[in-house]
Amino acid sequence: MRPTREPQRAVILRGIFLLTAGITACTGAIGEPPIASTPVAQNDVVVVDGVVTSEAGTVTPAVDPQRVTIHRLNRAEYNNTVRDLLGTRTRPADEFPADDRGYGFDNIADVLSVSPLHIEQYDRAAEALVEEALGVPTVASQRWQLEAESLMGSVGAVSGAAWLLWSNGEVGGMVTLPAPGRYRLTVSAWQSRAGTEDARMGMELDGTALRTVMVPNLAASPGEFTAEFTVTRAGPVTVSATFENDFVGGTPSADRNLWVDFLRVEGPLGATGTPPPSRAQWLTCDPVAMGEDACAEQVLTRFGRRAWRRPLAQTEVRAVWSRFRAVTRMHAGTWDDAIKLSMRAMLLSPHFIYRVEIDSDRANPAPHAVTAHELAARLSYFLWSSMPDAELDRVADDGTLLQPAVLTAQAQRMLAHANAQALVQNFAGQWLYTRRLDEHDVNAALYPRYTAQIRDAMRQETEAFFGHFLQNDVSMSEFLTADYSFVDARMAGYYGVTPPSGAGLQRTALGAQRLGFLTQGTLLTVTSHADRTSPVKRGQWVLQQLLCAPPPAPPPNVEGLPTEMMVMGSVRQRLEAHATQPLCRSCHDLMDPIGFGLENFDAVGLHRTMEGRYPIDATGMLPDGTRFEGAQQLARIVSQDPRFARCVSQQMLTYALGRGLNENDDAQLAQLDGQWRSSGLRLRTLITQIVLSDAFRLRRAELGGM
Amino acid sequence: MKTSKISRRVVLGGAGVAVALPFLESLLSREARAQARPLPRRVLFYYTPCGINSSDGRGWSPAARGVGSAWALSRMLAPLGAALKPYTAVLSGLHNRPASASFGGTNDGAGDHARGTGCFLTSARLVKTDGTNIRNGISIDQAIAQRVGMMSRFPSLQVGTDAGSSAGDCDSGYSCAYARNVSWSSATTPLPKITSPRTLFDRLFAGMDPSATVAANARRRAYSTSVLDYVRGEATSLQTRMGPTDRRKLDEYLTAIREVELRIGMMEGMVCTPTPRPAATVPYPMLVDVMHDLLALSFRCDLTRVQTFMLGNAGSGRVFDFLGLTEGHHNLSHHMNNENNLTKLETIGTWEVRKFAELCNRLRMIDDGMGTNALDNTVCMFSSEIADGNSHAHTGLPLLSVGRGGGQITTDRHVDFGGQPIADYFIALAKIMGVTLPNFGAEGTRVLANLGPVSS
Repeated sequence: MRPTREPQRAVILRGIFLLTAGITACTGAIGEPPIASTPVAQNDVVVVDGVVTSEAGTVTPAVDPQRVTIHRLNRAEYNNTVRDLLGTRTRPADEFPADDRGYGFDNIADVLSVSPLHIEQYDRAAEALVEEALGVPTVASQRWQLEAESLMGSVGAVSGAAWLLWSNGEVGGMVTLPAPGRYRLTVSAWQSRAGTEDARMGMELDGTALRTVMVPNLAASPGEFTAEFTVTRAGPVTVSATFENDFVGGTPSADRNLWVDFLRVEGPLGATGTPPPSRAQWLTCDPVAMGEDACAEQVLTRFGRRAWRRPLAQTEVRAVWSRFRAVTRMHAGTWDDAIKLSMRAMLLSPHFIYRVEIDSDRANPAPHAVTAHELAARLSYFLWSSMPDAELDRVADDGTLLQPAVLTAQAQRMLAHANAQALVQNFAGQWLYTRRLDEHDVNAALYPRYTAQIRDAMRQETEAFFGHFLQNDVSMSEFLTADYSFVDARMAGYYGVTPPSGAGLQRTALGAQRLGFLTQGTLLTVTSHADRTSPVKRGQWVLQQLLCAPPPAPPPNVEGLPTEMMVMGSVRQRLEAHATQPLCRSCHDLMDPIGFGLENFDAVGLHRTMEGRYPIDATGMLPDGTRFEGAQQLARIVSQDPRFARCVSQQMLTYALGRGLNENDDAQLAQLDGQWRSSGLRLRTLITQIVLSDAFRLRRAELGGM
Repeated sequence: MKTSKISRRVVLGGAGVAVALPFLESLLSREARAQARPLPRRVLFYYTPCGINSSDGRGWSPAARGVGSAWALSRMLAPLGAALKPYTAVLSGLHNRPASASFGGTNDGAGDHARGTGCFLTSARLVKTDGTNIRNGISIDQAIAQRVGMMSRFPSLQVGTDAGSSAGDCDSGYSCAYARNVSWSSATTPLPKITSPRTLFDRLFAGMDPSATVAANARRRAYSTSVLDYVRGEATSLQTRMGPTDRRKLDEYLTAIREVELRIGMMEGMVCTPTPRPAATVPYPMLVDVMHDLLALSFRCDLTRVQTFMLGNAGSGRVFDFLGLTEGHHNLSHHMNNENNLTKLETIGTWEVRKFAELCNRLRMIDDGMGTNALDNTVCMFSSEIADGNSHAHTGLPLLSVGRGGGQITTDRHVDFGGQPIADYFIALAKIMGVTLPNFGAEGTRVLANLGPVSS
């Protein structure tokens, strides 16, 4: 998606385009060659921020790599990074605030910001992560006794030294656990008997049931019931006992109730001194034998190399260690405490939170290569949304990554690695809107066949389909026209095609009604409303996401038509009534025909020939006069549009660089487009070409004094 | 269609347990403290998406203007009830003109939802961009919090119900940053909101351990301070090697570090017993109630004096199935004067007012000492990103001001301001909170006249 970033003098050049192309707001259409996409550089000069970077009359313009703003890790990247750094299975970033998006993606450096809330959460996460990786339960086992008569239940009252639950409800309290680990909850309780069964009591942690027990005991001899649980973080938890089967009746009539005397929590359980395996991976020396400072330097140098994605200078390591050793000494902390505090600080440092790139000569505006370590980080965050692995680290350390042959080999190795699934979830998930499926509202009464399982199956289908193009080197010219997809038996039933043999997702023929990505459930659903289709949304999606030619926004004051023009009729008929207004037609003639072509699929992707009592009319006419009928013909037209291939490379380049593109990238895009086409539109080739491109390997300083 | 477990504790830990227990426990200390210092003033901003039609006869605007018995609650304001009417000022005729498409000589075209949301509390002219050069203005809650925020554990809180979609764009060429954030600590830094009850709870009560020893607290404080001090140094020295844009980004980081640093140690000595810890995710609409619990708790425990709450994001498409509706909110708001749509919109708006009223009633039940309750000392502003969702008007916004603000606002009235800027109302709120602002946003120049004692 093209942004509107305007470097200073380039505004003047751009103004010329706007004057000619802007007044007739919507120009260009499917089937025609692209308009007004001539790179500025081919005309005369490229003037960026006051600096001339190429000369008049140049045939092959120089590529201006520009620069990426210092790039904060987004949530997916943070989770993956700490997973690869520390082996944790927790996903701390799930609690961080949502990342803001720009240009269609949530990894755009300019848009990602840091607030006090972020800092608080980064710090808490860092503390917990280090504790989990190294922590030995140095906290002696403790005991908290909550006497029920001093608590307050949701129902009932104090009765002697206990709390009486006289109907279904719970009583509980909060304890602050000092360390992660295993704990034991004990509840003392008794019942009054009634009916044929005993009182049933649930034992809960933070509202989640740990255990349910029957309480046969009477007041004379209370029972003690235990349940164990594990927490991964120190902090407050709520423990409670719940009464679940209140009962009055029987002959003679009796009342079943539950008394709770106390709740007790003990822990952390287990032998102190059983370290997690990761401890030995990081603490590779013995401070007693080697000397505290020397061992600390060894540990932190290794940790820093991985955490900051580059080698640390000895001064940096010593600065960290001396500071935190001093602080912990003042508070009777151990060498262990100082190591943990150092690591916690290093995980809060900007060197971890951001991908730092330094221009060694800030006064020189000419493009220069990024360092091998910076390149390794760009590569791993592009392909894996995570930090480099040991192999990539090695070729960064010895500098060979800067050689194109090595860079190519690494890119291909990483694409074949399981971590490349990140491209499916993060690139395709946003480019194809797959991520929206989980949030999308569907009217369950109107669409009973759209269940949670179908929704999951849809997402898996799209992910597998994209993954197929990524991993199996299939040409993207088939993306919209493939006569197959990857579905399981349930999804095949939904589509009305012959189910595959075998379990799970299999490559399956799509039959006569569907063709390619445009007819997949995912797309058809997320571009609909909760209760009906939206040809406008579908048309706009295709134009914006597949052709990178979004229709301009509606002119001012056009939203909010004074009256509903036509109340009855199919969705198509009602839309066509609006588009009789000339101001609306120029854009709606671009969007609506695409949407009409997909009207054979309802708001949850099921095929239909009727909309209620209106027959579906899936014909369309494009602005250039091309007529088509149905999704298959439409898909072929879009697939052959030259803007499709270029748009895919544009989307991929935006995601790879983490910045919006502008006119100064036209030269780079033209190069990529040409190379990619001649290779047969294979995604791996595109990715490799991007990695080898100037825009990816180079950057230039931003002028502007201190 | 999210599947999430509903914690019974979440349901049961509502009004009963939440209010009663801590009230009893902390009553003594609160009384003691109340004698020693002036009554706390607080401000809360409550945002709703997609607009409410405030024109006469549409169910929102009370028919009569005046004070006391001279005016009555309209249909949509009925949930405020007799209990809250004495605290309520219905402010009609206030405009947020910088949110319009044409303002100050430029015409930015479509994007009224993002504009109305982004400048909901800033009343500034947004720069229309998808990302590169985001520019808004400081929001009024932050202008207040930056001066008075040091009095409490958190200078301000940003809370909401919707994190926002994880793909796609937000509104017509405006970055999602505008559409999802009403709180801006500077022209370029939005303050993200917390949308998970458990995350909010953990943030509020993290580090609060009544059983910790003095030595343990001192150690914890020292460790946190040293970590923040260290990373601040790292960022400062990194800045010297960067160009202007990167330096600005690191300024953001440094500002955030500084603010967290200033607040270390404020948790110790807290005498507020928190409610049980809620579940991580709670389905809508129960989520609204749980978040309200925590907002009220934050005021009662004096964890903050400034809050913003977003009941959704710009142009929200939420389907209110629990109200019997099947279309999305945004679609309905383009009602095209269809009576069915208008009725459904009134249903949504009335529900929103009911939720707001529930929160205000919780505040009314907090004893602030000296015979006052929290609603006597607080101002709660309820409004929406636009007025009529069909015309996307930014004039005559639907606006409720509930709470006496320490006696500074004349309540139990409906008044029409005839086109004054909402920024002047913001300046009045700042003055109530003890912050003098000579101007605010693009249009605010003075304390709004005729609002109450604050206006003189």
